Parts: sequence; C-alpha cells; structure tokens
Amino acid sequence: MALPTTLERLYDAHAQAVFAFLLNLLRNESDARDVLQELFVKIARQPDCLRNAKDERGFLLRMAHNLAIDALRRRETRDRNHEAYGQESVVFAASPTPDEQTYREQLAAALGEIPAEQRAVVHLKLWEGLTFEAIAETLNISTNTAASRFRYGMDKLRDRLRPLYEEIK
Amino acid sequence: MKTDDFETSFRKPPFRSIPPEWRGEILQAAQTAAEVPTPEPRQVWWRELLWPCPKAWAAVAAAWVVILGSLWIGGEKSESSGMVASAPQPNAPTILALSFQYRFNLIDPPPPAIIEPPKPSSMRPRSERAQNIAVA
Repeated sequence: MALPTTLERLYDAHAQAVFAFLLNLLRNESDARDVLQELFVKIARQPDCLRNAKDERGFLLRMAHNLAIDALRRRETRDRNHEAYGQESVVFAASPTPDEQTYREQLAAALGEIPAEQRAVVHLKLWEGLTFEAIAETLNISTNTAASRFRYGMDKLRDRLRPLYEEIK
Repeated sequence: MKTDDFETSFRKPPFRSIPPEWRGEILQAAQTAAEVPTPEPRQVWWRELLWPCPKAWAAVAAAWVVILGSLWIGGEKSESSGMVASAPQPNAPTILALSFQYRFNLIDPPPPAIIEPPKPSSMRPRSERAQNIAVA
C-alpha cells in the first residue's frame, strides 16, 4: 500500500499535467476524471511500480495513456460521436480577450479532429516539451513513428487553423 | 504557411485547471482501494512453478507447432497417394444450410447411401472346403 504522503506528493506534482493530457486525449472531463482516479488507485495498490521509474512524470503519462486507450476503446462501442466531434468538454482555460478565446475554441476543435494517437504526440511535444525519444518511450512507439505522427498532426492543425492565422496576420 | 512558421508561431494555451475538489476525492478513493486486500491471481502459482521466461516457452511452443504441422502434412500426403480421392467432408455451416434446404423442399435429398454387403471371404475354413469337395 502506498504511503499517503507519496500519493499526495505525486498528485500535487503531476496530476495537473496528467489531467491536461487525459483531457486532450479523451475530450471528456468525466472520462478524464475516471482515468485519473484509476491511475492513482493502481499506484496505491502497487507502490513499487514507481520504484524503478527514471522519470515520474513520464511514467505517469505512460500509465495514463494506456488507461486512456482502454477508455477510448470502451467508448467506441458505446458512442462514436464523442471522438468524432471532440467538443464534449471545454479543453482550454478561458481567456479574457475575445480573440484569444476564439483561437482557443478553434484550436480545441482542430485538436479534436485529428486522430487520438497524433493528438497524444502533439500534446507531449508541444505542451510537455518532450523529445521524440521521450515521447516514443512514453507511448511505447518508435522514435520515427512519434516524429511521423507529430508531423501529420501538425499538418492537419496548420490546414485547419490557416484561415485563423491569416486573419491574425 | 510553412510548417516551421506555423510551429514557431503556434500558441499553446493552458489547459483547464484540475478541479480542486477532485484531490480529496481521488486520494481517498485510492487509499480506500489500497486498503482492500487484493486476492492473489490464480496464475501466480504456475508462473512461479514454470521457468519465468515467456520467450523461451513461446519458442518451445512454436517448435512443437512446426513439428506437429509437418507430421500432419506428411500424414495427409501418405493417405492421398495411391488411393482414390474421396469427396471432401462438408463443414458444419454447409451441413446446416443443406439440412435447412432439405426441410423446406428446396432441394432433393441426397440419394440413400448404398451399402454394399460385404463380399464373402474366399478363405474358408479347411473343414468347409473339404465338405465341398466331397459334395462335388
């Protein structure tokens, strides 16, 4: 059984990052919460799983990714619309300026339109600042696959957000 | 717009903050789950019994599959060589479909199998052969 202080320390240090990753991946706050709780339940039951982890954040993101994939597969059989439209829950924090708020809404919609595996790589590269090697280790894919998925995801985001960027210029 | 320009000018807004009330709920749920003893999985005992190297066992299983497969193929070839090829046995779905069609008179039932009586053996006991000779 994991010590309460260990769980609290992990939660305070990494829960926000893991939640953001899950929210971007699952596009649903309720599902993200369920997976986040399942993650900490697993850690509480098997505290030794973190003993040999070189990077706690990377290890937790990897566990979160695996659990999120399971959740996505379960949801696919129930309702495919969640994944397709990707606007189930608000993803980004609200902005005080209308232009920025519009941009955030458009970006959230654009992210929802790219496949989950590409979205995961884009998130880890841009918002977590991981290298392709670290992303490959986190997602259990090759470095080339990580780079390819990032390229494809960014191409789709660029095409989707091109009118918005042109307008901003 | 070039990809590099897009990436450099790409703004990454912050994600929503995790609701603060979740902290207590999630940690409490994790603590409660950890206090419930997890039953030992059934497969632990055989894992401990067998050599803990799944790759080696997988290789042994693959070798057996190859051996059995080659024996099976060799057995089929010896059966078919020098013998009249028999009609392939219908599989279960085919049998089901045929029975459905027979029942609704969609097709004629197959002719009854003609069972030829066994040929009398030419090898008679010596006592019977002796009697025939005497009768003749």
